[in-house]
Amino acid sequence: MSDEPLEIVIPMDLRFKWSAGPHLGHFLRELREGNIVANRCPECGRLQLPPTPVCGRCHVAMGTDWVPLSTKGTVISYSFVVDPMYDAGIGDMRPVPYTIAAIVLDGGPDVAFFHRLEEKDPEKVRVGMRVEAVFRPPGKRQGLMEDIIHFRTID
Amino acid sequence: MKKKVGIVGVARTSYGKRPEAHLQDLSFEAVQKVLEQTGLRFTEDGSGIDATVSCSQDHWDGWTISSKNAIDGAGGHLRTEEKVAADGAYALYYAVLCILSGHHDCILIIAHTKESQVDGRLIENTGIEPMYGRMLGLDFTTCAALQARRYMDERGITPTQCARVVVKNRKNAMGNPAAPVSEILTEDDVLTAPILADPIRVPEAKPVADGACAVIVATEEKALQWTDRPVWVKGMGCCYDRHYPGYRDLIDPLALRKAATMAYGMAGVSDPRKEVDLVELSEYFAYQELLWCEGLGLCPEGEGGKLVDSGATGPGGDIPVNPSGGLLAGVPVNVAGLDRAVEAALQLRAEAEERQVEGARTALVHGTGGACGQMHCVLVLGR
Ligand SMILES: [Zn+2]
Repeated sequence: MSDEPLEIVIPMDLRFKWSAGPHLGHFLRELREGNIVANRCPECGRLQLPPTPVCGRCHVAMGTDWVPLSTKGTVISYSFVVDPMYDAGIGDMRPVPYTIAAIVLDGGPDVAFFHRLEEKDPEKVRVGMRVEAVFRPPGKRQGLMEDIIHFRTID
Repeated sequence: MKKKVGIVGVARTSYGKRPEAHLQDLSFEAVQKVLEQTGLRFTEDGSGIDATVSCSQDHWDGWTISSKNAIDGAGGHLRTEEKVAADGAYALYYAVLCILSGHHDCILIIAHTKESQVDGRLIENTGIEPMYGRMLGLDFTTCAALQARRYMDERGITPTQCARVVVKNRKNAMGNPAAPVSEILTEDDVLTAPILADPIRVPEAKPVADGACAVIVATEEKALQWTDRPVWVKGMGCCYDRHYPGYRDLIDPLALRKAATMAYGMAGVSDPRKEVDLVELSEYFAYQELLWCEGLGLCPEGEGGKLVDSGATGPGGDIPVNPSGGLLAGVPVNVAGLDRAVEAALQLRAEAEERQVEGARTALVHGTGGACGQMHCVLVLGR
């Protein structure tokens, strides 16, 4: 009798139906319309992006003080991802390489927005570059982060 | 601290990949070792271990209430067992509170993870909120890459300084029998290694590891009775920041500063650089060692790079950081922070063999979890 190690492979495909709730829900519905909105804390005045029901700092309900942000912004950090990674947005491994970035949108200085950049040439991406969101065509948006295809360079 | 809590035993498995081992084999192996070392048993009359605190994660185990995988080996059969589903440093923190409360006198802490059984990046993708970050394919590695870039851009940290952390920790790991990494790298090796998520290269990320580690803590009275080399928990603190990395200024590890301030205040440490003899911290990525050194107050803000350049954090430096090789030597997640305590205790008991920091009296232990260091736990240990 052999005592080779036995490893049993069991895949798990868990399907969740997440509720976005009123705050993230509003953000995603606005995204579907081609807008990016944050909500403002009634106490400290800080913007939350993505919007949440409560300001962690002040522990107060965020309410509905919605602030539209520009779809243009400035890259404050980025990474060229070259190791394949499962991506819930497409339900599969996202083809590499792609560029993920932290972007401060105009009008939203408190928080960084995350998304991909169109630019995949490491020589052409830098901190401080100006970018703009490119949305899917109106009929193709679903109220998901994927409604933005990526951010394109604008300078 | 008014009352003292002592570490009376530490043990662990080796951390290489273990295809032959069931999850329960891993934790039981570490538990058996620490029982053998201390001579303690699970008892109900106060003569041994009163209760168990375990640390593991459902997602990593692929099994909800993951502590049940290990319950028998952990001495949890018809006994008190509680799970902390975060880093092992938090499990130690919680066990110390259980003793300080007077509810228990002696606790076994056991942490396990078998990373090799699943693609860890899928697991860490589920560590990100689903409808925003997870939809972008963010995981702890891509988030870390964004933090690393920002840190390098804003503070002038260079790829070479990050590579120096890898070189130092790999070299240190050669003296650590539990560490699975077996190859010393040069700065050049690191700087030309394949990219994972730029600017992070493969050797700058913690390698995959399997294993478990166990620690026994007890009241002062019992610790003195059971060991002639007790290690005391002198101070501790933990702090959470907000989940979305976009809400945080990623170059300011505010939660770490607060956790450290709590631990230092409790331990009466006013200048950690001078008063601490060694640091075992949780660097899941090389740049984090530099950033966490800043957060722990071992150097001024923005000077983590200069700190490694100076050699201060290397062997023989004035503040050795990760003489064990740290997480870059290969330590499983969840086990990570508790293994830092195991290493610190071995140092303070002068049992750290090749990696011994001469005359070590005070050590810092650090655990972290979440993307870009969302939460931190800091403990000051002393002999
Ligand atoms: Zn607020």
